[in-house]
Amino acid sequence: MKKAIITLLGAACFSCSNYLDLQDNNTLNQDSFWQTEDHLALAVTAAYESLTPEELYGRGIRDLDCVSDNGYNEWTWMKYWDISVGQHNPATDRINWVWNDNYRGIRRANEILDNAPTMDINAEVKDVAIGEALFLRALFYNNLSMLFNNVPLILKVVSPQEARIEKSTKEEVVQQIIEDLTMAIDLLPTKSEQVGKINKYAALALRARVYLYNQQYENAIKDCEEVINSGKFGLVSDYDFLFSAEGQNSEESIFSVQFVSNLKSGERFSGTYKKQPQSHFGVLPNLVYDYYTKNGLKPEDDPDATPFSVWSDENGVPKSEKELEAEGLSIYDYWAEFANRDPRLDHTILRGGEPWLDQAKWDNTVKATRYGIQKYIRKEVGLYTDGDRNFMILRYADVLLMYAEAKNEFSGPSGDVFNALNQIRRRVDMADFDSSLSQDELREEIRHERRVELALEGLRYFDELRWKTAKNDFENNVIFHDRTFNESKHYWWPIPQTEIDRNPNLSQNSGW
Amino acid sequence: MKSFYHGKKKFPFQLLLMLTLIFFGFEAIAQDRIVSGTVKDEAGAPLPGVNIKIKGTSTGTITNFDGQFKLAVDDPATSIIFSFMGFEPQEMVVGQNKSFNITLVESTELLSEIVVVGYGTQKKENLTGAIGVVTPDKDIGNQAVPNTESLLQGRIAGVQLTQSGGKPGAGATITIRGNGTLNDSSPLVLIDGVPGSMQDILPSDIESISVLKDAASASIYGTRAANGVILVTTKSGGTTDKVKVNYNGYAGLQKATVLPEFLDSWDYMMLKNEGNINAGRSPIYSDEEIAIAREGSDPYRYGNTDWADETFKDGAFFQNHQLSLSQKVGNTQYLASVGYLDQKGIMYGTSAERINYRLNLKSKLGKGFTFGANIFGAIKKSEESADTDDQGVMRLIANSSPLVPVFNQDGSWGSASGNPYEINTKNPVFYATEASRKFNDSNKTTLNPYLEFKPVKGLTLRTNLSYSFTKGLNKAHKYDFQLTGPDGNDSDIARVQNSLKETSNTYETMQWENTINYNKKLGKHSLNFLAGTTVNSYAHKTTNVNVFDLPSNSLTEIGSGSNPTVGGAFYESRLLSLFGRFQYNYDDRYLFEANLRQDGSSKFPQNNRFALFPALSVGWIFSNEAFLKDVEMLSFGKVRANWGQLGNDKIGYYPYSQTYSPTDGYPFDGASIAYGGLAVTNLANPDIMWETTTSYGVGVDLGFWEDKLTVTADYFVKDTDDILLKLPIPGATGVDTPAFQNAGRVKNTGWELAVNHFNQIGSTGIEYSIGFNLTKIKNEIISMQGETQYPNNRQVNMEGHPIGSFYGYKSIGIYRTEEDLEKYPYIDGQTPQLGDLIYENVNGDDVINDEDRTIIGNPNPEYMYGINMGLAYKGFDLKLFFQGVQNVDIYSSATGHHSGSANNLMNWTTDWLDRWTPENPDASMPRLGNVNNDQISSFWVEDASYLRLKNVELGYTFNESVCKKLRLQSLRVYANSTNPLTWSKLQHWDPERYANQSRNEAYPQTTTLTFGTNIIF
Repeated sequence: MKKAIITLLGAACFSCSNYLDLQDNNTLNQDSFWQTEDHLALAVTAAYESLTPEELYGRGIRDLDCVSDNGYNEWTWMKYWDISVGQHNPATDRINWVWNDNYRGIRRANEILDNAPTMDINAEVKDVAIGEALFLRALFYNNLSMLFNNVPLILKVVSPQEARIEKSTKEEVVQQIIEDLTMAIDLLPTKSEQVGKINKYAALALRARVYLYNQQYENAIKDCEEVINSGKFGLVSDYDFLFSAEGQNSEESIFSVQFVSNLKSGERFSGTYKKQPQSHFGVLPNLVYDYYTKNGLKPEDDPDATPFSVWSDENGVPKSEKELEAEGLSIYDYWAEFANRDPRLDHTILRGGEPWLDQAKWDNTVKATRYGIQKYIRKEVGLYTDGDRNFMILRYADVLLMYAEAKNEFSGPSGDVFNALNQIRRRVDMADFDSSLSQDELREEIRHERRVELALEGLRYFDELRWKTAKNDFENNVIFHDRTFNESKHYWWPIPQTEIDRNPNLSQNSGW
Repeated sequence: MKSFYHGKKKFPFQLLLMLTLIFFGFEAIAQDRIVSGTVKDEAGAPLPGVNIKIKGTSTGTITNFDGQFKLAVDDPATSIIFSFMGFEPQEMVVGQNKSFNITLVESTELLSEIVVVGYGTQKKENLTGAIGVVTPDKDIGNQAVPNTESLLQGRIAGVQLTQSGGKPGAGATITIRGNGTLNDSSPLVLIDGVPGSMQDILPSDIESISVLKDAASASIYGTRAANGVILVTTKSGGTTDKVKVNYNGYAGLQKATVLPEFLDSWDYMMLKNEGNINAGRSPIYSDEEIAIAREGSDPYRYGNTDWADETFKDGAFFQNHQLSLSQKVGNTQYLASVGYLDQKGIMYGTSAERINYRLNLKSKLGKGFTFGANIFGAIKKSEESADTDDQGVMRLIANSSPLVPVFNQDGSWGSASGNPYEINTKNPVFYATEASRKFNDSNKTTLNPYLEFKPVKGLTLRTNLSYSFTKGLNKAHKYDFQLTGPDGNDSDIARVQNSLKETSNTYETMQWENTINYNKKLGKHSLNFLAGTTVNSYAHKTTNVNVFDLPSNSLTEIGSGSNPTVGGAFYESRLLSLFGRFQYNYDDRYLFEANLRQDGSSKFPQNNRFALFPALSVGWIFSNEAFLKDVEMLSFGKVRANWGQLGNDKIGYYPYSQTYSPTDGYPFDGASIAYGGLAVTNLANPDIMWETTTSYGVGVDLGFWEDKLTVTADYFVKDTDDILLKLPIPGATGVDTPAFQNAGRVKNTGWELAVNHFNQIGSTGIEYSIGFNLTKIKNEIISMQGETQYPNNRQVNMEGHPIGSFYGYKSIGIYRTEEDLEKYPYIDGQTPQLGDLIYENVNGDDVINDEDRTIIGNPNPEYMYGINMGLAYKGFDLKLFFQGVQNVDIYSSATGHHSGSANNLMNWTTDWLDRWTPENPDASMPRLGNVNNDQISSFWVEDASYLRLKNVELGYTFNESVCKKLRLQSLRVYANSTNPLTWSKLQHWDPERYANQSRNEAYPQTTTLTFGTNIIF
């Protein structure tokens, strides 16, 4: 009887069971999204936004210079220090942060790649969006493959269960990156419709970088040539201007991450906190030492110059005025010596005694290394964690350097190589390259030029990894503190422990 | 429920009544005049066993089986009271009448023996589930409570109520039979069947509160019942033509039960210096400065401010007035009431007001139809500081330097002392009052019409509709200001930008329920069927606007600000349910009950939308068995057993729907703002389900010596499975927030015991009652799929341990000797000194690190209890109520306790006068200056067990002649105090606090003293 009633009432109930179908009208869901061009634009915006987190281009990628031989991170909780001295392990937080943020970007790209093709909208709009998504996915996988070597290759929107797969080899990942970029180059317009959007040349430049990073020099040369020959890009005449507010999205910028202030999405790489530039970031003295003199020579080889080591202690830390006086030296000579260097040094680093904000002479004792960062740094005291500077991922000078490097590796020194390199030198009024250099000598010079031109732009660590020069550079050339670089495992990071814990199919990288 | 008595023989009670009255009847012999008459019910049927008593005496008789009675009286002015269970008592003045024909009206008031259960009532003897009942008028008196739910505290075994503190308008948490979920564990509250909150009702409008504690009693509420159900029944309208006016009002003062004792400024300076020196820094204060503070010679620059004392006042005013009118007009009964509560906070700048109103109407339409409507609501207003950053004013009190004066010499707010180090004391009195203001307003109305139809005897059809609407508006003004130091210089305490945030919320609940109830008695078999349907919808809309840079702090509207930021959302849920119950009673000896509910909920995914909740229970009233009939001592005995399932649907509104959420965005084309994007930021679980609680238990109810002593004992298990948990997901998924999974399991096991005794002492006229209830609960997380959650840095949810256990190092003392330093390993990379805390090396390796952390305390009490006592003599009555918890921990550091190694102005409690120094090696507190003594450790876990006199009330009821002169029916005056006494090991803080309050920052509990009067005319 009771059952009968229940059944009866149940039948009545089912008839009105659409009463229970409620729509969440606060936002779109899987069914209501992916309908219009506007929807696609929203998804694309979210995908670009995944470039901006603090751990990626909001600061973290630039701060990779702190684990290279360029910088020193004073804030241990940021965990750069652990990596820089070789004390990191699978549980080091930063490794997990970088992993997660790159995969977040990959998911947002995959959302577009999964859903856009079946949308019933203008095909051209769709193609551009797909091209942008492919570029972004390639960029994030390039970060991952450079840092971790082998990572799970996730090419569609996945559930947590579907994400539990074994990693692919670096070769497979790189192959996928090249495929993505090749397709993106086909789909993207030659000119961005809006400033800040990815175009064909950004994809070509990125593909050149991936080829170069993976020693496919001939392909890298071709892509660089296409960018160079397009005539759409050039060097900004003033190196300092390039990193200023006015120099953003200039003709030198091929792809920049766009930031605005007064929102959570502002960047954190340019801020001054309590009137100090990037309090956590110190510049290593050995980078300062590495800049050539005005004459294009190493300071120790230039009779007109005095190495900075004269005014510094054995760790490269500049001595105080009093300490120098005691040794019969003058701090004014030390300050004067900076004028005798490659001008990029002064633009890139902040040294004691330099005018800084309201200080006539910057007090360098706030930094452990006594050198601060100046490239990109805002001079106005704004919101420290909410900056509005754009970050150049790819700029024309880099393409010229990539071209020179690839061509020298592929076919040795040539006029094209020197032409590319000298453009960069001439901008800062430095002497041309010595055209008599051998291939090996030129390799060293190109590497040096990359270091000083691109210093503190987040590229040095990747260069050290791909050149396999890290052991010597980190262990022997860093003079401020001791570093350990174990070649059997430090050329790649460990897979984060939490990721291993959450994915039983995932094995740890070798050596870890 | 009103008809429950109909035609039923209530043998055990009548017997009891008769026995009592025969006993009293002997006294009637001495009287000289006999009156007689007949007592009938409204249908004209004679009522046997009606209790007849001469007012003010114990003299009386009962009616015979034909409803007739005879009684001797000596004075025509005497009043006779006719009372019978299930009927309204009636009072008659004898006058010159010799014969009375009395018609008793069926009572709408529930006597304690009739218990409100889900969709009905039941005789208490016949209950097979675990239900706790409170009738406020009888049990509680005039306890001054800021929120109605607090009346339940300690009254019912198994029901834990914790007050959030004495903040005006603040609520309380109720946990029934232990916390069964890692999510929202608040019970379902139904007011006359309408979903609501206890704050919607006046205590004086409450007839009874039933707490459904197990699945047998609550499963009829299905997917909303897993945390228990509280059924509130309000009083019905009057039963006589005469208007009954009932006024009850009290007023009094409150103060904090306890306030922390902080160090005097000179001690503070000494300790600050000591901490700095020990931490390798320079001392802050010179000996001269300390001397100045001690002498008090420069009170504005080196003062001695007791911030706790300054921020709280003794004697905050509290008043509460309740007025009701009730009457029967023709076939219509009504009750109209209004209440006003006004509570000034003990903290300056806090206050609350509340108005409650109610109109209960019930009208007999004839032909078996009854129509009724309940209309009620609450208007609430409260005021407080809007500065809740840094955990609000409570934290500031401990984090402010005692050197800083409340006011500078020029009358401006103090914020700095004469020492240049101290330019940033966030003056707590200023922050509590003038730095910001927050106004919370809400207005709730509920309309609840119903229609009842009784076509034939035993059959009741009822349709019950309700609609409630709540409108809430919060306004938070944060003013801009610049405070100054004693010398008139700007201090660091400033707000450069003022702001005003308005948040508006509306809530709508609609419910329509239809029930059909059928009672049948066939010989010794009693049957009851119930079937019903529920349609329920709930909607919540919220919008907020925040504006900045208002031209003046005195402007109160958002239109005057600029740079607005806005937000808004709308959530809705619906429920469609079927339910049924079958009860069988054989000869009042064997009881059986089955419940079934099917809930369809919009919160569940389409493929899993209907949930089924069964429950079974049985009872055996062994005292009604022939072989026990002759055991005089045992007046009642029943054993019962139950099993059932319940659901918890508090899983979000659309948890199965994969939504794309707005993101911060990205600027294209050189835009100066970022255009928002849409992306998956929270994963959905398309297969999500409700949490299921399986509860089972056994119980026994015993009555001795005519129920003068009653005992109820229960053993229960509450096993909740499919608890929503966010299990970690691979980062490669690309989404930060995992979906909820039905993955956890929590088990509560316990027992309850309630013993009550009432009696009177011989013929002295002294009546007394005494009772207690005691509950033991063991809470344990059975499974979290191997995961561990950290709700904050002191608490952990871990398999095998209670929810929210304190987690950290186990401190095993203080390094007092060189041998200690040798013997006990220390935190990795750190070297201990004498006076530092020793941490136990749990895993036995040679360092102390994260792996040595362990469970160090339990915030869930093991035992809780309540004790009530009542005494009445010649118009005086005294009620005492004690309440307590045992074996419960709180974590007690950071606020008032810290190592002094950081650069801040935090004060210490006076306990720190006994800290370790080379001169005081046996100290109870560790040495200052070592930040590692601040690590989360058992040293800071304190036993928060307490016993408190929760409420005491002394009343006097004036005798009839006084009332008559004043033309009153009844007049009572009383004095009442809540929380006057507390026994606890805690020195500086009240031990009663939420389990998740892991710092000493709760608004203090209050003790109140009120005087009141209750007038009926």
